[in-house]
Amino acid sequence: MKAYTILVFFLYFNYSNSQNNTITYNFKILEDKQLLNNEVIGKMYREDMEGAKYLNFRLIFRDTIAKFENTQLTELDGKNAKGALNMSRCRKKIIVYKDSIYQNNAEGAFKENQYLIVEPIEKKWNLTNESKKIDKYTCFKATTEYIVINSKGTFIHPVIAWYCPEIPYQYGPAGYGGLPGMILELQERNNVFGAVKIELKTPSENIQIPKKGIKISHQEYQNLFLKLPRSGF
Amino acid sequence: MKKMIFSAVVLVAFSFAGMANEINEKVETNRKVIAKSFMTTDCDKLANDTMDVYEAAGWTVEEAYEKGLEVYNVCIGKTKKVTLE
Repeated sequence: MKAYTILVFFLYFNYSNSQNNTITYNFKILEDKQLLNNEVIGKMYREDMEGAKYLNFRLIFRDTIAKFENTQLTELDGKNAKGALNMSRCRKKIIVYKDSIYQNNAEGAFKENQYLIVEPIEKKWNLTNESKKIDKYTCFKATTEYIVINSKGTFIHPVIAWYCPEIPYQYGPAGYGGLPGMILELQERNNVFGAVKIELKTPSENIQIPKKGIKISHQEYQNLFLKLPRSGF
Repeated sequence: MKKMIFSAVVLVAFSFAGMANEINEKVETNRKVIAKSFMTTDCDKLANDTMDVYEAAGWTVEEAYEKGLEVYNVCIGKTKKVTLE
């Protein structure tokens, strides 16, 4: 009887830990006046804003690991969301494991999976007392910065996250996390990810850290583009 | 004698006609080469200008490059690319 009880407890414990949780996020691209005012680029930007409405992402997570990926078709009923998917910076799945973010590069300037970009998870957040309800959850506002260094200079973009301590996991969309609760809404520059469905304890799904590609930091990867010739694309 | 003169005139006339075709072909070929060069340069410039605008707006080099590539692909798709065939 004792052995039976121990066995049941052991099986229950393992089952609970092997279960995932899943949050589905929608995606919006906000207006950028500088780009919209350009005749050629403005048209493309408007198409991307429209295409974003057709994208959904999901975050699958357990205690120690999480995966963030696109789930929608990028061509739906004739609408092309490829441009919007590029703008999300989440064409390839993002894995978060032990305070590090892993993402392979997508096909483009370089061969797909040629590089494995590894970055530490963001932890420099400013926590505020501002709160709002997302679904039935009370969320608090936190801010940080997304720094871009390109050939034109250094740009600091604000990042706003709404995290929920009631869901005690340090993850969020697009590789963001490190807050005392799940991020249910995130705005980075003009990109906004918002939770539309929260499912706790969903069936187990295997999450693996990518192994292909040359390990490189985010800035090192960006620097590779600075060295590319700017003709004969 | 008259036959000989006539034959000579015909021969010369046909030679000129042959030369004219050759000149036309050269001009046409040159026009095609110029047209192709002009269109290729324009698409490159458009792509580079696009990259500049995105970078100036604070986007990463990668994002700007991807947008430049997108514009370039659209540009060469819309442009009637002439070949030397």
